[in-house]
Amino acid sequence: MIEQLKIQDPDTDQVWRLLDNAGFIDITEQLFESVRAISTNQVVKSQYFDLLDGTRAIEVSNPKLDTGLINLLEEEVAFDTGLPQSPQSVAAIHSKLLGLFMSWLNNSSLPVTVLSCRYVQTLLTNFERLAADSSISFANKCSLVNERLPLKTRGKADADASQGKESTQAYVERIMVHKVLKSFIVGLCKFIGTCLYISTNVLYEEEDLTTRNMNFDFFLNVDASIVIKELQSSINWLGKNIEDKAVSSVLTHQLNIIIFLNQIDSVFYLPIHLFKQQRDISSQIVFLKEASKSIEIVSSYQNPTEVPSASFSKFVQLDLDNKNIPFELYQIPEKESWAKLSSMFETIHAFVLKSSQFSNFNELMNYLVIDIGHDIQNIGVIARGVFQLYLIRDDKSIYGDPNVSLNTFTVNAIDNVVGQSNTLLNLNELVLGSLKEETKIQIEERLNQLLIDLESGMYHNLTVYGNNPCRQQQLRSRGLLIWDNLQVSWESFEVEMHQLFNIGNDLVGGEIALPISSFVYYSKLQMMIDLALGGIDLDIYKNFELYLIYWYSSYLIQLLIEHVQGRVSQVLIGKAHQIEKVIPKKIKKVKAGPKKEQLKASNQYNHEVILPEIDRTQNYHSLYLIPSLIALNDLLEASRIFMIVLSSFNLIDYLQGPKNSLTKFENLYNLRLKPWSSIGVPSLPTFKQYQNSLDVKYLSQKLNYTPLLRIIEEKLQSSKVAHQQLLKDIEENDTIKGQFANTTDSMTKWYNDLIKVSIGHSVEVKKLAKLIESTELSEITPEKYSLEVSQGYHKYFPKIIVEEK
Amino acid sequence: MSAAKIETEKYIGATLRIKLKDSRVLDGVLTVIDPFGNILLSNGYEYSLDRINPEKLHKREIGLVSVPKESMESISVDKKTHGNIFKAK
Repeated sequence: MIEQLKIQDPDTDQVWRLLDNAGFIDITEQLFESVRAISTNQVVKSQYFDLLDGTRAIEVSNPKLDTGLINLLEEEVAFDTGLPQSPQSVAAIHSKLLGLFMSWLNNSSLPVTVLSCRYVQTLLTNFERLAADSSISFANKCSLVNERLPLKTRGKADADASQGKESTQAYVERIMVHKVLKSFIVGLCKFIGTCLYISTNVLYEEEDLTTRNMNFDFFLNVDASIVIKELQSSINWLGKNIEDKAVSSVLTHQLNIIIFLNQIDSVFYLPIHLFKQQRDISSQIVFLKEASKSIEIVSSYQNPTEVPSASFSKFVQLDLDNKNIPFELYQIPEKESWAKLSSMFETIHAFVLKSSQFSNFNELMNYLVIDIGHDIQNIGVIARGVFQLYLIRDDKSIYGDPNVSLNTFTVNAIDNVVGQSNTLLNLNELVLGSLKEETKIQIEERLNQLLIDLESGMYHNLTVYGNNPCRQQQLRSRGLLIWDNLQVSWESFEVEMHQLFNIGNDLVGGEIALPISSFVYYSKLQMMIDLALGGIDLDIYKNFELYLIYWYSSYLIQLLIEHVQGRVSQVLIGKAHQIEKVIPKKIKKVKAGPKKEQLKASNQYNHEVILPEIDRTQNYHSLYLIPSLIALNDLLEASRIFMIVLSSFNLIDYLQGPKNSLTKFENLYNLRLKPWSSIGVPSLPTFKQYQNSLDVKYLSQKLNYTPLLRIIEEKLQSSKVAHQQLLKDIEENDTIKGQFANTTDSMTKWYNDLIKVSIGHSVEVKKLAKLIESTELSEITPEKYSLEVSQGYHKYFPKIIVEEK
Repeated sequence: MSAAKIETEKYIGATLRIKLKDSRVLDGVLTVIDPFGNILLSNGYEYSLDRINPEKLHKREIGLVSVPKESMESISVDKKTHGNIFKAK
């Protein structure tokens, strides 16, 4: 019973006394008595509770786990956010908050960064408390007066002001807090709300951004324009009231940075017209450039004043709802935070500007693959999130262009590989005319469903680029299944349409062309290759698996080359043949009349638009795509054969795996290739084929190594020359350079890195050749030599060096 | 199964008010209890003296917490819960 509780120390009972405990009955004794009957190693638990969830319970009374026991200084607890502060002091708080904001984006959480600021906590708490009260203005809801402080310790400045006793300095210092700092915090928090929104939509919790928000909504429902108005008002006030021009300028730039942050979402309303000449949008995104200038000014300001003592602490962790353990406060170095903030604006500026400059589909795709996809680790998390939302909009339009829906984008992608004029994508009365109405409906329904599926596949592909490198791999892995299913369904549809109704594109000899299936297969192979090679720099593969990945990737690339040189090329030639030979003959046979005129007009369009496009696609394939694939494959093959040589000396074993392996290597082989195992075509090579590729029995004498080493050298050399030629073509060849106008720098780096790999590998091959020449083969053993695998010049190619022990 | 064990199960799901030895008070739903009397509370709330204004009470949500037996001074329940637990006796 409550009356029976022992009250030993009146101080420790104060909480208990303040609580309304009337009607509570003590059950301490009965409960503890009952548990004596529980068997050892057993617990009594709620049937709805999973004991595994118990691992995330926080242990009360353990100082390492209990935020209620966080020790704070008296001044940290009693910090008064309502006190006036000098302009320098407020400038210091602004800069610190910007630094903490960037620290949050650097894999930290809000409670140990931005929310560790008492000003932020007080303002958000006041706003939350008053949010629903419509009689209070927004500005007044965002008060920095801490109502919890006893009256006697707060509000002196306010009292002086209301009694007209306030000096000019006191006035300035009061407004610095209650207007300038307040608007800064409101603006920063508003943008944090935007970041949280972005995170909810396109980022991954904990992995990309920790969204723990201590139940604050960060002005999610407040219009950015209201916030910007408050910031502008502060800037105006600073101009009139702060005499020290240096600090006034810094404060203004700090507020401007916050305005610029809150203007970022204006990029979603820019009128982009993909692949068309359009007005220069630079003037509409000039704020993204100005932000960098403001950051430079703010970062170079040597502030003589520090932030007010105790204004940043762990107080928020022990004061607010908190289901986490205590954490130390976190801040990245100041210089780093300015650089990251600046980079965020610059990255957004770059991708927004580029979206208005693409002149063709290849250019866009090369940009997405190289500039975004391959460089994603260098793009900050928020810029990455903004990019994803900027690329694919809620209405599924691309870059917000009302004329480029996912559907048109998909058709563009198909045209870009197998050329325009795909009969099944242009079903009209001319094609379907002779069919029964019922059949037409059935065909259209089935086609529409297949197109929707294809659009889903394209949508999936587009989501890959802006994700973090690990998620990119996961999405590619999922993409394999999507594209494999697409191939099955499209192939059967195209075959059926051709066999039953003679509808579809033909090759030159009249055989079925299968253009859409050819595109799907092309896309699938690309994704299979990207998945295999994309895991290398993520350290997914062990050293003994690298050979397998090169071997398999090389096999896939060869299939892709064959596909583009074979089927895809034939489809393009077939289309050109139709336009140049078959259709004119058909037109001649048609009697004069409207139908003939219609066909003639269509034929003219084919000659003027479609044929040049087909020609352009063929050129792109033969001048860029195929050579780039061959060059990459040569490098993979050279590396692979080099590994065979290494394995012949047992410096590494690609058939045994780790020494203490608990399973056969065949199982490891199947496990590693599991993501590709469900693919129907191309089927997975067997383990036997893999073993055969590693047969080194013939390498028993020195002279046997000579041809092998020569092949490696030749492949490295041809790869280097091909990459150099590609670089030259990208910059000089009129047919090619138009496809890379917006990616020149990144593409140049990509190929230069591959050239460096060729050169670096060549040095290692020569060293090994010299070693083989100068040493007895029996002397080249794992006891005397070891392999060192380290980061290389290119993400697909780590350095592999043989070193004497 | 012993009668005492059944009795322990009857406490599960009850909202407990636990007075800690460090003066704080916890409210929460008893979810797990072990033979030593250590408790797991769901939907936990912590009451303490407001650090800013010690004349006032401060309440906050702390979620799922484990409470070691040695940190507890007393456990109580409201009358209704008490009635539900002990009515079968």
